[in-house]
Amino acid sequence: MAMNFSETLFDSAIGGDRRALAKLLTIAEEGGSMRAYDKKSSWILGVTGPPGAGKSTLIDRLASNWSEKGESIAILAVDPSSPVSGGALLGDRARMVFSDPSKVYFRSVSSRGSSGGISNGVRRMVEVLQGLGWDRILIETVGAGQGEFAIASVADRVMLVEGPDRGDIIQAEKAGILEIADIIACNKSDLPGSQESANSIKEGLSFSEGAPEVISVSALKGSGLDDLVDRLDQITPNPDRLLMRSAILLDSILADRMRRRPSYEGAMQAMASRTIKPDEAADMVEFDDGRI
Amino acid sequence: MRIIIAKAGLDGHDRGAKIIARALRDGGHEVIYTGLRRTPEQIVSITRDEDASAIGISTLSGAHSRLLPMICKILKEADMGDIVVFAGGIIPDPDRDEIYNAGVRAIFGPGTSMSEPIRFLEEAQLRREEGKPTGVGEGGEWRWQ
Repeated sequence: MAMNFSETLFDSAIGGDRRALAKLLTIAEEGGSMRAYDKKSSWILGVTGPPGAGKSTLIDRLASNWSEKGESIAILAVDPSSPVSGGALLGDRARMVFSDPSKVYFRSVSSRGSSGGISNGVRRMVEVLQGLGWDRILIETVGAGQGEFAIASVADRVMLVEGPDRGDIIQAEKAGILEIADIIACNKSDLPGSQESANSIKEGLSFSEGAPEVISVSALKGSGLDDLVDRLDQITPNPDRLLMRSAILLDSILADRMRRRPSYEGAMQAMASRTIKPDEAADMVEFDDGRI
Repeated sequence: MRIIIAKAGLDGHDRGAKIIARALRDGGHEVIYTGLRRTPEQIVSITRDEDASAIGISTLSGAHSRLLPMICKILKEADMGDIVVFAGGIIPDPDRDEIYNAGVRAIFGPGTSMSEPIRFLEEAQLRREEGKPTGVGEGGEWRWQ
């Protein structure tokens, strides 16, 4: 059931009607027609990190902290969809306990199989929220790989959340994503081993210039939160990191477009049966209709 | 469909809710789980904020005769009568008529096969497209039996 933008819906949403807001976001997510929004100056943060690092709880704390100061907060929580059924189980909302849902808007988003595809949907949703004047917009993605970073890169600033003793820190380092976050929150500082893991992240970063700050925090206990809130406001978008994040986002959008090409399936089959080489398969997809 | 799976009131057992959430996901739906101990008002707000078109409420506490009609009433008052409501858990037969009359379209008890709620939602979707009364506030006699 494709719906289209209507001025009535927009006016209701401006007036605080949550149902109208929710419908506008569905239209944006599904790529329905919208008008160009007169964007207000929202503050947009992408939050990513491995499963279980405590992203949702930390976001809950931050949202609660900001909304108590009178700011309006909207959260888009992106979870992966099942590659088999296309369905998704979106459970981040269950972790929201500190913030007041009448002041904080929370929306679960399914990745619908492609980080490149959903990043466009998320970007459009962010535009709607900006147009409606939400003060702070948070985009949460699960994982610490390129795909998750691509979606988080829709935001102007990116925070990576890590936990102690996860081993994922090494993974994040391998994937080269530590340096492209603006700030790293080392969560669960109430647990043993957290100081060591914060130190190991810092060491991993120490050779890179203008490295992101590492902040120890406990979302559960609330310690270190004020410090994190201050530091988040002090982030100045670093041109090198913006460039790297733009590259990741662009790659994922291009990959998504390529996968939608009619020749993709055939190229993949041919490659799987070893009748053509990977390069030749890529050529098939890239040049079949003469343009990218 | 976007579907809310909810636990209402003082009811700490959500194994069933999580299993149904997974089954619906595997049926290709986008399922949002509310977590435990939500009030009827919270469940309606979540449904509204998430722009979901159906709510499944799992109840094992014995408070179904109070909570389910209450959720239906709040939905109707919030002008959300188009939302499809179904329930699962321990709901004895003598209590069911009242719950159906409140607008709940299906009740799935113990022993229900996982494919049944999926077939119910398929039919609900079809009925909606055909403009037949399907939502909690749309009246009509339709019940999933």
